[in-house]
Amino acid sequence: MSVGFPRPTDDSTLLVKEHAVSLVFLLQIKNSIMLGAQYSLIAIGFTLFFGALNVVVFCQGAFYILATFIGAGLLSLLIGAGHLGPIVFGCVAFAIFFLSMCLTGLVGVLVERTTIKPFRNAPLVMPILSTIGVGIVIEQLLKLFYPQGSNPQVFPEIFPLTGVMLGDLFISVSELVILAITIVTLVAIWFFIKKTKIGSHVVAISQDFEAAALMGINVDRAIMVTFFIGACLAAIAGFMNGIYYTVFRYDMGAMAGIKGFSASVVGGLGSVYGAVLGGFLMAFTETFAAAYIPGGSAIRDVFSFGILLLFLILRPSGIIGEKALDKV
Amino acid sequence: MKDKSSILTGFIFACAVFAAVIIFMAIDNMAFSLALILFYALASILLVKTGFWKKVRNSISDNPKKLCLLTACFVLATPLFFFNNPYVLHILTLACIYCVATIGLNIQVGSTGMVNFAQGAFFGIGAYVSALLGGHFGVSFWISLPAGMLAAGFFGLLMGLPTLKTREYHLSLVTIAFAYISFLLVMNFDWTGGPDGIADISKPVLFGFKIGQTVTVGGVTIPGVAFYCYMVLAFLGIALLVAHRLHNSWYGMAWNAIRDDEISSRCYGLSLRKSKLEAFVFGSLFAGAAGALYAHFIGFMSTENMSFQIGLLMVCMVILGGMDNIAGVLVGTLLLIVIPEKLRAFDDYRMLFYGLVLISMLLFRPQGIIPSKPRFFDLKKRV
Amino acid sequence: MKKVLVFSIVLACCLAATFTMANDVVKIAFIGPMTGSNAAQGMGAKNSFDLAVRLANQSGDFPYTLEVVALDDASDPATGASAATKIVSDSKIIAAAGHWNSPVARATIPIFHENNTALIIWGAIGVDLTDKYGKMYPEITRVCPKLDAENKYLANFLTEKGYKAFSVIHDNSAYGADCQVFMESSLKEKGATILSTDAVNVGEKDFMPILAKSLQLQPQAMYYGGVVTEAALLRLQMAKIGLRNVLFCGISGIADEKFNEVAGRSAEGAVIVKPGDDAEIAGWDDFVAAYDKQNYSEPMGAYGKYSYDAANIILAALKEVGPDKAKVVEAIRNIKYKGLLGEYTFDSTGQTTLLDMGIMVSQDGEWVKWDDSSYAKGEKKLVGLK
Repeated sequence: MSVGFPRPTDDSTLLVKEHAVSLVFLLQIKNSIMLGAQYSLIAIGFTLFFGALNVVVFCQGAFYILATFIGAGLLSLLIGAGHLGPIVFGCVAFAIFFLSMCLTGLVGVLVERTTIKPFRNAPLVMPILSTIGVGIVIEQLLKLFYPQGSNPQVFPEIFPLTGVMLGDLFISVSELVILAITIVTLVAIWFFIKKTKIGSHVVAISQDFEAAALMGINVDRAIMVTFFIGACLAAIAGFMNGIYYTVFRYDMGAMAGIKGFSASVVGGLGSVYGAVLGGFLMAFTETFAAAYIPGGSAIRDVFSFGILLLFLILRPSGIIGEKALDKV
Repeated sequence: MKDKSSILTGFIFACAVFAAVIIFMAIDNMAFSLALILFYALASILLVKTGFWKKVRNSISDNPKKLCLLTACFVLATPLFFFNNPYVLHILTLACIYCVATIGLNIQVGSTGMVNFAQGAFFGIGAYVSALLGGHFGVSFWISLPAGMLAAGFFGLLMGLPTLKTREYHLSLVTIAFAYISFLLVMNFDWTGGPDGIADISKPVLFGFKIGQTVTVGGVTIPGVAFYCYMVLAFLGIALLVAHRLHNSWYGMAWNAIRDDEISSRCYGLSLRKSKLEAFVFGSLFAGAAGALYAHFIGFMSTENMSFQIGLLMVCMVILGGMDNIAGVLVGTLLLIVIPEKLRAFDDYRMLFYGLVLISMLLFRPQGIIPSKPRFFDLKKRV
Repeated sequence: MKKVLVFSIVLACCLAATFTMANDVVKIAFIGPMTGSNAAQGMGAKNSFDLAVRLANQSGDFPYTLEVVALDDASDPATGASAATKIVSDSKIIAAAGHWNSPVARATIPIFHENNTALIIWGAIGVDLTDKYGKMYPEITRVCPKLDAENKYLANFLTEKGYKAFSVIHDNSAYGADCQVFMESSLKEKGATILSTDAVNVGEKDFMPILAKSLQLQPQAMYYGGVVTEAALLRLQMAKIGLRNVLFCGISGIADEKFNEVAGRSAEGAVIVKPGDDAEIAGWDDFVAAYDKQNYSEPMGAYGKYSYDAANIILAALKEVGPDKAKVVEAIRNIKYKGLLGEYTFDSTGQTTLLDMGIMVSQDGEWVKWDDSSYAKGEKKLVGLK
């Protein structure tokens, strides 16, 4: 397949001439990859949280949509500020991306300090409940206090509508950016875990909490970092969600969170590679079920939950599971 | 050895609560309702701080039968005050229906320590089965309700089986998945009415009398809701009795043991498998009954009333009221149903309210408003 | 403890004293979604309802003060049922106008019927509400067009323009499912073919798998039965995937300015059926001016006028027979009332005989009446036709 260089095509003139089944198939694959990128990032967050604290943090979806709101709000301010040159615009836009990521990360840390830390020695079901509560609170606050929060919002368009042609398949600039961000993020995560000191702390905690503390690792700090990063990942996914779908509403976070969670369970709670694998697996299953099974689009969610259920029951450690059930 | 506490304190307390409830339900004004809520909250805190609550609790535990009878009388008398206000009766009936479901949930969450988010799904299964049997096959309510219960119980068993191998939080996750799947499946099947739901669900008929029709006797108009309310109260009474007996039996003991320490319970010889399944089945039976009562009460059933959010709300009710404490669960349910109705101006904040309540309770008072008392066996009594 | 008891008794007495607020007040009730995803529609309708009552009070035509009791149904049948029960329990409330969501109306209709209280439906377009219930219960009437009428109108318009091949997508709410049924039957009646039918869950964001299918099927037009958010998402994704040249159409569920706002450029050329031909209504400008004067925080939306007319119908009935619930029920059913949208009468099922609907097309970011649009004048062409 040849890769053409960017032509100033408007997507409207790209009415597909040959409606080859293979092209549609490629489109579905592209869709799945886009979706999978989002699920994977959210899933990695879940995995990190679970690895560090054995906690399922249900407000990951809320972080996701929070970032979309922050990004949209700041970007519309930027656009409203008047015409800036493309370079300046690009830099500021990137800065906004970074800012929304960090803000969400801080919210993540705040949530950990206030509603998860107190339950460190409590039955594991308490943080599940409290994070569900936090998720509800964040979403409702967005709905109530963001201007017209209960209505659907528009994420400002910041990329040109052009793209590249991969054979017959059109890939837009925004899609390329999403792919690029995903790859960079995954590499950064890998680097963080394998090469940095604090990363090794995080891994140590997930392997054995007490031993890590005994070794002199500042457990509290490592946990804070974990939450910051996990929330950042959700934020990145949220920002990408805005770029890709353009329309969002305050209640979209919950579903994304649950799907991301399913992805991490399928891949194996505790394994970052598993989270990525799970994310793409879920996305592919959903997309192809919706496309090729009659009536599938209505029950695509059933597929997601069905897979979750199956794995929870039959193989709770997931595909690349690392944590075994403890035997006594 | 203390003397038995006087029944007087319990009596005064019951009267005060009775009056408080009647007044609160009767008030229509939002501002007054708010003021009253704050007042009651303050009064309750004062009650505990001054040690009066302890006296009340002792009085209750020393004179259980008489005070129960008294409470029952008060409860039965409450609807009488509202014959001219069907709206209040409607709210009370709704609250009592949910109480039946949350008592069942309490068995799972409170007694056994398994957080089950799918109680809404079982509620819905009971409701749909009863509604479908009544609508399509003309089955009488008195048969369709048990049928609904059994259906819910069956699905409870079905959901419970795979959770036996999992750890506690995995169990909760399974229940969440189950809740969503049931919701989506029911919505997408045609024979359940799909998103349209089932309408025109008929009221139950007892000896030719339709429960829910308004009757005028000697100049007094008794609204239909009042009859349904009494019927629900009867069911609630049965539910309370059953739950209480279960709690004080080996079932309840086993559940508590499992909640406290699974490994020790197994060492002791308890069958985890059996007890957990029993908890699921009993809990779902209650939910199924509540669902059937609900469907025939509102006359309309759709998937919105069996969503994950309903299940979550029920869990909140149990946590708010007090896990493993039947009285607490009743209080929690009543509060979370009645207060949002009374404060309708703040509807926008309803979900936010639920979320904050959940978090606050977990952080500051996880044992709930009325904490459960640890089991206490007075050895000296046996001598 | 004694202090607490005394305090509560005193408080109770004070509160009881406030009950004796005997006043010459007659209340009429409004139910609608004031929270939840349809809040925009509900609030607009509520404000219009409120406006009608205010104007009536100002006019001095009534020997008593009129009061509005507005309750939220949150688009949820159970909440609607409690609201309805609350309404019928208050003997001062003579009649009510309600609902945007048909399932909620189905739950409350029996309550109104059992208590002989009139309910005028201002926004729910489920067909059975009048076909079945309105026929049985004299209390139920409706001022807005039914779902099947809207779909038929749209189908006729499009097939006349030459559209023959359609793809249908709908959400699986009661509304969406009904839309699909009626649109498809109306289209088939006119000889069009349905190339594909797909259902999505409310809240679905990703329509790409379905749209990719349509690339192969090549429909001329795509119909969406559902509400604004999903419709806008769908249209955006249609443009993205290369289906911009397929006509996008729907009925009143997406007839909101939010659609244009959210879908942006890709909204151009979308066709809808909207209840009511706004500009030709007698007294429309006065209505808009009066609405604006009240400074409500929400716009009147697509259903404000129905709710306004519903309020006025109730008031007209009140004027005729006085504050008597049963008489008002009868009066409404038999009424001949000239409202914003024309002269109302109700047929045997309680459905209004006024059949005012108009086609609108999205032009330059706004819904414009078809006859006024550049499309009708030939300056622009609708997509989808070869």
